[in-house]
Amino acid sequence: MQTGAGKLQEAAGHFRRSGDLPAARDLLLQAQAWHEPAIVTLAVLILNDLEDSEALQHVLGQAIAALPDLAHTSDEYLIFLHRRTEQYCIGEDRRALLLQMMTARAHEPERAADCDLSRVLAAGQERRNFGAAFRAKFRGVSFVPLGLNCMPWVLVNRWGLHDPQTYRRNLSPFAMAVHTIPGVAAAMEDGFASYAAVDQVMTITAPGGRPVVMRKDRGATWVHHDNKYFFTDDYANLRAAMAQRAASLSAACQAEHPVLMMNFVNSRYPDQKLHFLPRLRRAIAAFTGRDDLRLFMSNTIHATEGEHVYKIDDRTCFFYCTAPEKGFKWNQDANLDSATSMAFERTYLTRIESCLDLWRTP
Amino acid sequence: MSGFTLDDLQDVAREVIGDDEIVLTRDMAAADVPGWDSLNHTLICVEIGLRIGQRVEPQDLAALPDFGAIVDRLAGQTA
Repeated sequence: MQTGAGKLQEAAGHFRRSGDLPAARDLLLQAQAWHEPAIVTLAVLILNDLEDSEALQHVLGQAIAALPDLAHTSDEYLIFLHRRTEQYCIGEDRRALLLQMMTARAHEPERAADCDLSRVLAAGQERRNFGAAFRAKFRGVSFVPLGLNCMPWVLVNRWGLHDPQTYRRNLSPFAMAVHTIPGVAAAMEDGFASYAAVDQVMTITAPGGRPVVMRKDRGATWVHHDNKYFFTDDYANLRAAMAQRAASLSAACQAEHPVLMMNFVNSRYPDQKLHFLPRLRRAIAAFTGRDDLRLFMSNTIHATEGEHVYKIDDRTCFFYCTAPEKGFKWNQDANLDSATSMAFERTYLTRIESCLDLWRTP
Repeated sequence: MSGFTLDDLQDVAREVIGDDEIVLTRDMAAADVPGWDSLNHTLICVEIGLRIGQRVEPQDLAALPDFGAIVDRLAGQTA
């Protein structure tokens, strides 16, 4: 016989599969069954689909608060919560109970010193320490993603550089999608008017059958917007979501010390010129009304025998941070918290720090 | 564009994957190229479509055994 949680999971899952993400979200938020790991996991998936950051942060806080009432929690569930609290920038105060439970579990006598929990905790502690030191050194600095993939956005959040409010405010259209540089520039040039216009967008089927929504000119590929919800009514919900994200981008760029960040700029600077930069700069100024915004670009594909970080001018930096191997999947759970991935991510974050230091240097 | 060569495919792969050191041969396949995953395969097909002016279905090319077969198929389409 199916339990109440099972029925709830089935109903919300049905809404999700049929493309009614708001109904799935509303059902789970009303039920408030945050003592059920399966429900929490499903809610996080659905809210992530919707990019409903406020609800995501709320649900994770509630799930942590419910932990003491659970008869048993698996290590996997605790690690899941830990990773999501980093991903969505849950405040330290709300994370404390989770960290306390994980630490107690990791120190149980029968545990090996290098168990998964210990490894995850140690990696998380290093990231929190880095984030706290960074925020103290660069007060008021926040990071605004300009693409070209999700990596910069995910890393600055995972390493504690943003608080919960900044996470919500700075989630731009370029945060969780794949873009080309001309695609980014064009979007800002016309204020996102044609960015996700129906005659510019198509759905194509990837090997394996997964639908991918993208601009026909390949300027934007919404890899995380793969639910039917975003395809129906001529992509009306995709456009609505991107309009919200564009408003976020505008607000984020009016903050005190925003820093724009763009990865996957695979030029071999300084040997190759950044021919796209003047147009990109004009587009940023046109959209934000500011010509003083700092921007760093990164190349994670190529190794360099020269400098790792270049100050192009008093607003622009370019750096290299070579991935451990070609095709390295920095976002896969198998790599997350590994020594290899930690070293790569730490280097990326220290290169960002170098950019900020260089800009402070006359 | 008339014809489609291995050099054309290599050029597209380099642009999409972002690695100008990629070198393709006819007997290689996607699995031999770091970074040529499902998403990049899809983007490569879209970029090929933009260059040859015809829609290219990712699933069709994914079913072919190697880059030689892919190039032959695309060359036939653009002849």
